Amino acid sequence: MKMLDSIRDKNIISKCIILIISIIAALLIGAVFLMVLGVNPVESYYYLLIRPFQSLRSIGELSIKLTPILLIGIGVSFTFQAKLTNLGGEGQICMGAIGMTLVGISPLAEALGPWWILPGMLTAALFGALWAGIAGFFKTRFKASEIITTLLLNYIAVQFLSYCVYYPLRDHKGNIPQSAKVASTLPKLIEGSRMNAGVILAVIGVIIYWIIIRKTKFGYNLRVLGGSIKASVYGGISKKKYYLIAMLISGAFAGIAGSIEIAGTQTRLVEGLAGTYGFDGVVASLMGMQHPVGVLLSSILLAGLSVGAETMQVKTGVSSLFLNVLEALIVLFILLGFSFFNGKGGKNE
Amino acid sequence: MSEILTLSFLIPLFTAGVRMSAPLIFGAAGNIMNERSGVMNIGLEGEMLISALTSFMVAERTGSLLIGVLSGGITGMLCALLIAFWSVSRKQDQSVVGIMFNIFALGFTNFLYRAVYGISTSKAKVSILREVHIPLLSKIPILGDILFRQNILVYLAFILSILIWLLLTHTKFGWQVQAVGENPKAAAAAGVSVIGIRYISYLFSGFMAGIGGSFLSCGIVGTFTENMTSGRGFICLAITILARWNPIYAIFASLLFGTTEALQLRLQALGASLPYQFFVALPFIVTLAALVIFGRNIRAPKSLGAIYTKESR
Amino acid sequence: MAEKKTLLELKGITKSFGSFKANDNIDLNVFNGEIHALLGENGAGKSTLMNILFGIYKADKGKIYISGKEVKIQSPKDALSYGIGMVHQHFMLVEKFSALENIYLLGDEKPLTFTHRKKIETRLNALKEKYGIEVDLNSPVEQLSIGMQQKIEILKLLYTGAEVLILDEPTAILIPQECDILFEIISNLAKEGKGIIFISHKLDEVLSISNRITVLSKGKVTGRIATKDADKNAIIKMMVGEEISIPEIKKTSNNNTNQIPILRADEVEAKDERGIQTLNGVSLSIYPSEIVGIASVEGNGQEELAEVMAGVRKAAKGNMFINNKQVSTRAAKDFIDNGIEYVPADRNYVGSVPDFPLYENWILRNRKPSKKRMLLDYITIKQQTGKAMEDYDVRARGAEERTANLSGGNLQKFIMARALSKNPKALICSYPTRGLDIKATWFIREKVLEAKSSGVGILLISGDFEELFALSDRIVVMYRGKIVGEVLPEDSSVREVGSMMMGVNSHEDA
Repeated sequence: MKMLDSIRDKNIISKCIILIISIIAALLIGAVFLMVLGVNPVESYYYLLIRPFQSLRSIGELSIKLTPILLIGIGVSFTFQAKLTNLGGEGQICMGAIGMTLVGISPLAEALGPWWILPGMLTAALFGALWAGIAGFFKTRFKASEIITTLLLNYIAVQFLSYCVYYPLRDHKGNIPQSAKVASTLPKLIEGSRMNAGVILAVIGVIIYWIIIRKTKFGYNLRVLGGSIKASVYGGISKKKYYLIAMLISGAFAGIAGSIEIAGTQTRLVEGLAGTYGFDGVVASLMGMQHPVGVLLSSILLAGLSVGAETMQVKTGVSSLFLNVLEALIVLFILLGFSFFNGKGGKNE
Repeated sequence: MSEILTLSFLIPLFTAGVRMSAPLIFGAAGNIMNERSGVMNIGLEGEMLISALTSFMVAERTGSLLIGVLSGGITGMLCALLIAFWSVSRKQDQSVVGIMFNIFALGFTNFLYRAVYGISTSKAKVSILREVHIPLLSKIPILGDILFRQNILVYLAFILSILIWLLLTHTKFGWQVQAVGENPKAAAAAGVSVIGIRYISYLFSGFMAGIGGSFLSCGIVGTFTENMTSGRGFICLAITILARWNPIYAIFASLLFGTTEALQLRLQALGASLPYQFFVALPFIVTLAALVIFGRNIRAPKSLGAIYTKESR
Repeated sequence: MAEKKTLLELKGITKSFGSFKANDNIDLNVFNGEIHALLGENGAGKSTLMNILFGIYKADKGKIYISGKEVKIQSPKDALSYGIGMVHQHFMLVEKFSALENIYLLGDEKPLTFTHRKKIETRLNALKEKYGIEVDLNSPVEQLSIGMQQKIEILKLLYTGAEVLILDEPTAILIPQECDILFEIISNLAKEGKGIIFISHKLDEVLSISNRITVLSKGKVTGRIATKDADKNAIIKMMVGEEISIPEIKKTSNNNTNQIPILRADEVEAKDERGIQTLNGVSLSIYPSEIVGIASVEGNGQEELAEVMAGVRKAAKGNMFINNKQVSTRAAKDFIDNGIEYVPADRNYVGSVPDFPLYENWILRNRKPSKKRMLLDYITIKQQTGKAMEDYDVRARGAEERTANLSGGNLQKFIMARALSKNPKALICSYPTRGLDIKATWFIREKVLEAKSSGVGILLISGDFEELFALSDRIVVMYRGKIVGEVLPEDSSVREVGSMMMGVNSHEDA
């Protein structure tokens, strides 16, 4: 990611300024789009930006979205460190959700009581990791571009999940294609909202990421691989091994996000549970420049906007996917901003 | 099963296959030109999607399919201009720019369609492009039906691919494009404008993607639906690799995928015993398998994806 | 001899990169029929000046005149249209194209025209005849030898009608016999009235071929002389700015008779980056306290040999032994753990990660950077880095400095410091002083000798004969991926080694 290279040694302050200006610029352009089509931008933006943070209930909604976005964002950050682009969050979260459901509706879950969640999450992480691992394997063994393979795997996983809720895992009570409810759910954190304990796991994930990337030789090796493949060879780092492990880790994070969707938000397997989280996570990682705090803050922003976008759609009729327009503009403006900061300092003699 | 092997099943199947391969041919052939000059266009999917919408809207308002399709092509070019500016002039990572553009396109088309047409259940429609039967050739048994009773854009797709191949391999411009994609510094030292060539290739592939997208809405379906490209742009990227950056091979690969798509629709309709999700996933599974089996150890343009700076020390 | 005219004049050229002034108010002129040498040590600003002339860089200040008229050169296209052509140190050829296809790119034809191979071929054959340049026009350039690629570069310029030809360090990659051929071609070009700018840092060759010399040092012109009036010592002073006493190298003899080799290659074969087998069966032992020099033309397998012996490249066949114990060439960690260190030719992308701060590159080839815990101890790492930078006089803003900001000399000193700090048993150096200024060059050479005297076994690959002969205890010559001979420097000569590098074996039957 050359974007990382051009900003790595810049001031934190200038990075933040560029971030803020990009957000403002994106909002301005978005406002123009809205006005051209006869929509009141002030009203829309009120629902989009301000409402989500005004009530306990909507903050709970925010936290529900924050968990998967943050987990995927962190997972994807691992792969970005090695200059791999894992776009398979959507597929990996689906596979994780399937894994969690399999455990959650099995006799094992009955037997274990609320503790089923642990083996469930393990299974979910495994499923997610394996799905990402397929793309990792294709990359290391066949040099197949992970951008393309992870995207293709998304489409396949989404169909597989649909198949699961229509046929093998279908709940025979009722008419809707969905699975039976899982044995029990994650504890709620705040009364009056849907916020569940999953968000704590997501934050723990951020800390784990930070420790691994900044403080361990493994994380260092990943960064070397991302910095210069030739240098990684020089340093005795196995490119294939690290590519594969990075993909497995990011898949595992997405899988856990899927497990929390099941045990926390949805309580059962349904179509569309991946939503836009896969790409939102990628956006969060890019906006946060793979920095743990950056990714956290970006995820909170995106989650808030996501809640706001749904409200905006209900109240003003503007499509909730308008958020995509804003997200994309923000990242593109960040890239633009950093492209003007190209002086990397002269050579010392 | 036996019904599948009859001519009355196979001929319409392959005819539909050829028709469905056209958007892929446009996208892939354009993308080949792009990648040969050393830049990636991950945003192809987004370009196709936006063009599908604008071409439909223009066709619906003006009543002319021709103007609609043309405006689709121009839309594609404008999108490409944006992508080119970020990738070539501002030297940002091409895959990131492309990914963000796809996200933008999904949101933008959704937002625009809803804002203009609302969410009524009766959809606005245009009549799709008519078939043009090529005299004489369309009378050939079997092949005539399949190949020569298509609409005009299908013929255009085949012709353009061949022209692109000729352009790349037998003209000075084509050699310049190849040089820029292999070794931009060497090309620059030979007086070739690397930035100019890359902008041209982006604009060209944007136009092709635009026509491909227009074909979806105006040539096959007759309306616009949310996310109607559903991954075709990414399949085009895979086709580019499988075709070894040769537009002629891209035709064959596109035919393969187009036919797979047509097949899965028909098998579903026949009430085959496999669940419909399998059929929807089939083109993607086939693409993935093909990419892995046939796409290994091939030589991409050497500088593909690498960022070119003139004054690099 | 045609009437003398000034083909080219540069006035007041100034160029800075950030805070570093590469060219400072430089004047230069070139007549027709002359071979004008631009002499200066590495980093003096020669390539920058010529890249400005060729339109790759833009000068901050100054003017360029072609045949008396002022011109603006914004791109290589402009330069070529004014009759200026350049053969770069790293060739500017599209590898998968043939010579013909590469040269075609420079023609006048409009872009949307069909390519006419026959026409160009005829023109090129005529040029080949006229200037005596033997070239394969139709094979992909990547399959041709370096010497031939250089000739293609020259032919390219003649095709465009260049009147001023700039040759940037053309002999850097040639062996003596190929240099002779090149000099003959250059003489022919001068006789036909072309103006040649010959960039070099090698005083001897400049004295033998040029008519005039302009000396650059630290971005400024420090001397202009007619070659026939040249005084060697005075010129050295102009180049370096001070009297440099080249240290005397005392070779210590070593008794290898009963020792176990630290590193031993047994019939190793290997492929290069492109998957082509370039190493075709080499057996070589490196003993403690010795320097084994490898002499070979680029592309004859020596880089791959170095990589296999350092443990960073897998051997397709054959075995590697460390202290007579076999190690797998797939297991880089075994090499690292056993004290095999490597100073690679590419210090910028192989030897370091450019965007890392120096202290992060300090642990690049470390297996266990922190003895105690699982976590990296950056405090200690930064301390170690700082101390090494002091000991080795690495000029930078501190251990936090971004590695890419270091000059070549400083970066190489850093890498050498890093390698030697691990008390290695064997040290493999690949072109260690390439592109370095004189001070840094001798510093590195000193460190290599110090290492040898403290018991390290050293493999030294170098294209600099002076260096090979001065430092090596024995010189091994490679050709086409095999060892074709071994000589003792005191018993041999540059000519002899040069011949062996070309595959001519004077001691055995062909």
